[in-house]
Amino acid sequence: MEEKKLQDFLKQSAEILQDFFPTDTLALIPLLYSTLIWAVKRKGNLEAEVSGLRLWLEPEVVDNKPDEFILDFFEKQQALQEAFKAEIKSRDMKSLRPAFRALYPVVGLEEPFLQSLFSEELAREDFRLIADQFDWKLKQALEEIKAAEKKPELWKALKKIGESFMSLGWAWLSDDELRAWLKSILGMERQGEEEEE
Amino acid sequence: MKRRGIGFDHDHTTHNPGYRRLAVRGFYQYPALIFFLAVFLSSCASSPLLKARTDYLQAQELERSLRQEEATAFYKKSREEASAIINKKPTAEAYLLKGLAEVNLNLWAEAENSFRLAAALGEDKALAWAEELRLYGLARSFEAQGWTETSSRLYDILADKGKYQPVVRAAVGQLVDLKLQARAETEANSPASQKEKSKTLSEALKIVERAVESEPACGYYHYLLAQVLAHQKDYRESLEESVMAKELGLPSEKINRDNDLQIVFCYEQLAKILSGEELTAFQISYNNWVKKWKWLNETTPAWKRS
Repeated sequence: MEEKKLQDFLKQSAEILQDFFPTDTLALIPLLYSTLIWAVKRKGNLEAEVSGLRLWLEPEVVDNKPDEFILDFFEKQQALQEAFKAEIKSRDMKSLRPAFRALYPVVGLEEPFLQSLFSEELAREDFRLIADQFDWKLKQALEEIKAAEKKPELWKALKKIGESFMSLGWAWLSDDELRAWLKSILGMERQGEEEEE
Repeated sequence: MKRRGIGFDHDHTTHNPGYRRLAVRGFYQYPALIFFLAVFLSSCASSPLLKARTDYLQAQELERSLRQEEATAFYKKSREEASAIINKKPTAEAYLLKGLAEVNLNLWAEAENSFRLAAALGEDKALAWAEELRLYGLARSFEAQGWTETSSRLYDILADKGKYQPVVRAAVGQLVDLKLQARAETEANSPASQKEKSKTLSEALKIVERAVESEPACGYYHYLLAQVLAHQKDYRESLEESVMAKELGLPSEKINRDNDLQIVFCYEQLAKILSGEELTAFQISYNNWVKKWKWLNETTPAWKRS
């Protein structure tokens, strides 16, 4: 029952936000996600929550890891291992290194912005697709948010969504619980869509 | 440089007097800068400037506690407040504060401009900072265009001669990563190329060791050192440096997570190599840290959900 309620709420919220973005936008889920995280935390300001998540994308960690670290990363998770079986077997670092650059921030460091951007692919464990589409998808989402955040009405709409979320009685959710709920509901939505098709 | 181990044979880092000495020495490494900031911030006595200053200090406090998103909010607030003061009456202090907030928001070009304007209004120190920021910005754009040699040269100059700490740290980080990138891209199919790879790694190690010597209490430099040591397959030292980095504090949650994964990786490598009593002793001391950090187990940091 609660899940159905939250599912409806997310659907309505996405419809409201859709007006600020082009059709088939990639930015909706990350933006909705950071708004709800902001609402649950109830501190700081929303603009900072959104830009704070994006700030994670600045190059500050050492990207160039040893081959052993990269192989270990791919071998540790069953699904990752399966997806890159041939490359791991032949120690094909030329292919693994670029894939690692895309997958490590999403799967290893669990960057919130990237995890929500690739939530569908993660739910399907389609790691190859994340690696292939990483650059353009990230660039597009950031460009869309940059264009939309200049509109003052967007911030008003986001704040309203955050407040409504709290007033509907989900204040008890922790950050982690909310992430888990969103993940499961996004999965359910996709399943529903597939069934309709 | 002789590196000082943090003691996987001891209980905790803080019990190691050598470690404490390192931290204390590092704290006083930049007395001039600390004194300057203290004088500058305490001289912002007028009310709106005081508010902007307080928010800036609050942001720094939050950053130290690894609450990056909240820290960003306060840096932004401080920047907006300084901008409002400038709109009414431009002052060197307000431009300087705006520049400092912008550096922390990674708005390098804007920070350079603010420091230049602060210098034009009489704040001499700000000019040198602006020059360093300009050089760093230039290096970043060269790097983006693929001119890695030119950008490496600029980062090297900043790492060696720079005075403004945030720029120096960023330059050292970029320089080390570029060296490691060159190493990764070199095919090791001949003795000559193998030699080239070793040379690049030694250069990267020298850069970081120099940085650690200049600022031993900087967690970020220990993090960099741990990364380079892992390329040398020196997992014990890499683990010790990662632990030291974690204990000294890292500038962002992202680096903190990367450092945690480095700790886990080194632990697993060592657990494969060691045996008998040595392995038991290592696991006991490692578990003391795991307990202290409240990790779920030896290989799962608290932030890891999956």
